[in-house]
Amino acid sequence: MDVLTSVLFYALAALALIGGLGVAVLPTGSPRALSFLLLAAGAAGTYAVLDAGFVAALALLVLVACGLLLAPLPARETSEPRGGPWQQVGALAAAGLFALLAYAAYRGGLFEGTYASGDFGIFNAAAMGSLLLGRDALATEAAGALLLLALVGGGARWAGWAARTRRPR
Amino acid sequence: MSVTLVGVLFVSAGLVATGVLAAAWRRNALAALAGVPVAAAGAALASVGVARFGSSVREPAAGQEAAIFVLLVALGLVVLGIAARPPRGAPERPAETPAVRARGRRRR
Repeated sequence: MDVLTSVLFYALAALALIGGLGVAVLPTGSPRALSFLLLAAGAAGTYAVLDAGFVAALALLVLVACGLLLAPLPARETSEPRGGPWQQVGALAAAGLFALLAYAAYRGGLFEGTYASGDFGIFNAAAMGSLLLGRDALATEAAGALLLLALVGGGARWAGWAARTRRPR
Repeated sequence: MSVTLVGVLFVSAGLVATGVLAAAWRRNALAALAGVPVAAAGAALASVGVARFGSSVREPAAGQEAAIFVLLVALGLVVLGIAARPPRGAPERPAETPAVRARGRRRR
């Protein structure tokens, strides 16, 4: 990779990390929505720099959808209970996990493989389609079933809410 | 300065740890759900990085496929978690931590 692409990758990675930290610590509402937007832009950009255009488009869709769903929750009137020492332990565990993963990345015996990105193109939908619908069709069906179940659950909940809040004529 | 697999894995480790931090920092279970897509984005970045820098000749795009699965499962978990939250009138219960359990035992 040339220098410009590398700088772009690290800038987008910093954007994604800032967005992730914002999702973790900022209050609900607009700050959290903006953090999700930063995360989506940064993550999708890093995928695109790594020649994974299809994954980038999907990540943009998924992370923006998650942001729209999760940014306003819980409502502001629902106060979060104050955290105790366990919150600090959780934060330390996250730091320990990062140290562990970073050590594994640095010291792991990683090999350099070959990747012919020119064979697929940046938006490699055909290669993804042949893998998702051909070799791993069962896994694709399982992921589709999970999404269908989630959508049915969400739809049933919305229908119940709509029935409860409907005004009598 | 060049992007290598180690650099990509560093960034992905940071994203996964940030997702875990989000889940640990928020005491409300619904708010803690926001850590799932962040951690999934990190895991997907690791998969894409492996596909880009360390893939085999046999299935060069398999890592990208794994990233797609991780992202789809994260979206499904988020939608399921939101669908399973208590109704608006019901009081939202805090996460069941050992401290909360001990407080409940003391009250009893």
